[in-house]
Amino acid sequence: MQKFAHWFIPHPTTHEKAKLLSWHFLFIYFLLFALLRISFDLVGIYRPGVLGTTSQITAEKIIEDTNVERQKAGFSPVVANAALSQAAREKAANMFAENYWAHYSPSGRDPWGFIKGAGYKFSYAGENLARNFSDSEGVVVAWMNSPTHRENLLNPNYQEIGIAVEDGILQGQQTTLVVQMFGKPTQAIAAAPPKIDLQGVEAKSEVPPLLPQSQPLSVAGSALSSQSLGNQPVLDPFAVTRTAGFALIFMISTLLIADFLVLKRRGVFRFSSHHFAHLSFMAVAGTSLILSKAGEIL
Amino acid sequence: MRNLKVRFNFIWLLFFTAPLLLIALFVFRNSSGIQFKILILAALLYLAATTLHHMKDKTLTFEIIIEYILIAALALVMF
Repeated sequence: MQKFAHWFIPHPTTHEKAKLLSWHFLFIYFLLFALLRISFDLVGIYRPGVLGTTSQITAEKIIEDTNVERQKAGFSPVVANAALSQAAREKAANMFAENYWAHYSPSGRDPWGFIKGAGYKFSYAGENLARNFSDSEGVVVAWMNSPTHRENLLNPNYQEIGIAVEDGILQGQQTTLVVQMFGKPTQAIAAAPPKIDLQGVEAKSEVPPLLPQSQPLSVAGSALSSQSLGNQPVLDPFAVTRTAGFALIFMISTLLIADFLVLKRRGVFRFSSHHFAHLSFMAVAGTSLILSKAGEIL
Repeated sequence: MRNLKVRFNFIWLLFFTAPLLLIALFVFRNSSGIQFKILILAALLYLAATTLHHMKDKTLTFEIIIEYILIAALALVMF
């Protein structure tokens, strides 16, 4: 019985710390976590699509939330545009096809190439990207909390928007990509030079003026690239890692508190028992896990 | 007059730094990259403070340093 108890509390005679707190077990925990990470990478390579995040994102909700933020900042709302939505869809499809997470494709395609390819003639254009978010609100909140994306989202030059919410396998994982494209059609300002904005970084593009191509639609219009997503990956690696992390932090913290209380009751001092140091660091590690998010923006 | 000597303790330094790191994690809650850097900073601080503490007390052993390194590495691999 005492042997069993020593797995969880200090040894009754030597006062050696619980076995589960020994460096041997810490090493085992570390190896198990490393193995878990490696397994996810291998599954992503050999069984693409098994891992991923379940998502409930809709283009309508993203446009709605974008316009709420724009109106809060005193700017006019943007209107859904079929050509911009088509450009966003093509961008997402290209990201899956070329397997990249960037504004520029490995083969050199840039965002405004997709916009022009969809027949949208612009004087201003911009692009925001997001992946692996579980809901639409999270996407817009993340963009709003990033100064460069926020600048794009609240740019008063933009009049139209196109959203693509597409499912596919990206870098081995079932992924929900959100491509947000903004634009101002050329007829809106006849002779002004066109500008492109990737999260606040502006560039010029050769676009002939006075070539109106945009077709403004209502938010509920049929040209929206809207998908209520039904992707069902078998395993969410983020959720698994996070749950396992919480379980381990909880176990180590509980054992440390038990160790502290037992030693105090026995009136024993041990050199390597800096419970507060360990617990402080566990608090930081646990908080970082609580605040971590699966979604990424670009 | 009583000579008031406050013994500097590296472990307490860590204990009082933790709330600042928690605030920093909350402030940058929407940036995983910065959060990870804060966690690395916390891990380095944790290792430095505990190692210095044990060196000062002349109680630093291989087992103790391995224990701290493993806990720091665990936190990083969990993120």
